[in-house]
Amino acid sequence: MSRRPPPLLPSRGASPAWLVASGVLLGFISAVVALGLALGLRLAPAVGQRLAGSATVVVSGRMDSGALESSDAAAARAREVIAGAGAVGAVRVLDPAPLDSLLADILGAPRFSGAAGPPRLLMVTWRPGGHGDLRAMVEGLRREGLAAAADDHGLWSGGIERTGVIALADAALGLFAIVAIAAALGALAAGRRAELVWERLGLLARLGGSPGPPVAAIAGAAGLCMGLALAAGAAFVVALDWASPPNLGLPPGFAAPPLPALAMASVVALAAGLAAAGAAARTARRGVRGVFE
Amino acid sequence: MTHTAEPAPAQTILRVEGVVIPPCAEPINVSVPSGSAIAVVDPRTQAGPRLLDLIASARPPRDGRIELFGRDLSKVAPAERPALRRRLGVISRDLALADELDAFDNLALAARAVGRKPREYRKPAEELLGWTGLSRVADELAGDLDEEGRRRLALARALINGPDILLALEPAGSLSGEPRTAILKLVAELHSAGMAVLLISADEALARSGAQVVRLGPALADAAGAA
Repeated sequence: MSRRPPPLLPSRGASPAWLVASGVLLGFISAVVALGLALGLRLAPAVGQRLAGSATVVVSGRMDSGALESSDAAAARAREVIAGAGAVGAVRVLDPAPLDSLLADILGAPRFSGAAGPPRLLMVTWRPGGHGDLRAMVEGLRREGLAAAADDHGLWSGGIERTGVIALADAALGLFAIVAIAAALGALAAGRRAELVWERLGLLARLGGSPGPPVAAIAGAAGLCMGLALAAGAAFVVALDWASPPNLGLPPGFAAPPLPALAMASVVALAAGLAAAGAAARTARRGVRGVFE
Repeated sequence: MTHTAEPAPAQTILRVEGVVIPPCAEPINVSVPSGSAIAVVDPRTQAGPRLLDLIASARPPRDGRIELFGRDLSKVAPAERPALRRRLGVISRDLALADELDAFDNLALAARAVGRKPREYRKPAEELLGWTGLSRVADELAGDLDEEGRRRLALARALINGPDILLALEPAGSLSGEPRTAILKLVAELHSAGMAVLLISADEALARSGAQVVRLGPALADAAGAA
């Protein structure tokens, strides 16, 4: 009969299959959520920049002193006026077809079938790092005899930004919840494992007549492993916190609220885990000795 | 009062003198000479299991005196107790088997617990499994064995490290009929081979097993010394 010596510590039945499967599933979900969160954090500044760094100008044609200026002509003139303004990086007249179609559907085609035609939209992009005076621009256009109005996208960008913050915060909370559940499952598995190890240590002590240095060493090693596992979990949370929006150069509004709290919690968990591991090792040694003494 | 104190031979493996274990108010006196078999019958007081724990732990009693391998336990330093314990083969009430290990590995674990190498315990383990009739189930998990198999395995494991005395609490457990007889026969074989045996049981039938009997409990004082 040739076989390997039995392990001193139990190796079978430590973690039920459902626990392992749940851990794998939660790990997968948390990875997907973390990926989505990271992607959102990367994309957020680009979207914010696009919204905050541009404006839309509406120009309409008009009858002035008996002369008719079409909306297309007015838009072309406005484009030249705007292009000469300070802080403007680029200006272009948007394709009128979609707007015409939309207005016709809403208000009826006859209303815009006049001589001047429906208004035209111009997209103004500010220079990087600069932001022009939209009101002054509109006044300048009016001085040139153009009927113009402008929108700085503040109405939409504010809502989108708020939505983005809420989405990121929700994603961070979701990730935290998943990590917490995974940690709870891990604790459950560790608890079951610790119970089996504890039983085995007691059995070894009885069989060997003494806790003896090897058994005490096993107890210490088990405590150390527990501490290292806790420390690894805490390090993961710290890493998660390091990847928080402020560290990625995002505006404060995008900061996910729970992450700073997690940083504190992780440090406390790390310290508590190591202290618990030390206490567990000491208790294990005493308990195993207690089998006989 | 209770006791059976047979003439002690020159070498006494275990001597229990005046030990009081509540709720049994009477002092217990037991002497197990080398190569003898003693049955402590304790149908009422439940002091038997505590007596076994006390001896197996090699701790001195509060009252009275225990001598193990000629050494008074009250004079044995705690650091010396493990060496005494390793000379005892113990079958406890719960058997304390590692259910997730197979029969062979249960013996191997006991051998590893005292620092023995595989080459040192492999052959004795195979012989013990053969002797106890467990060779065919050597690869089966202890948790899957039936009651008789578990009792046989507990007996084999108690012997794997070559003890000088077997201490057994209810070695046949709740078995009856042929399985029970078979277990007790194995114990009798051990005795015949020269091993000292101390059986502790609530079963009066042990009085007919051929072992010298010590009865615990005042109500049975008259029967003390029956063999």
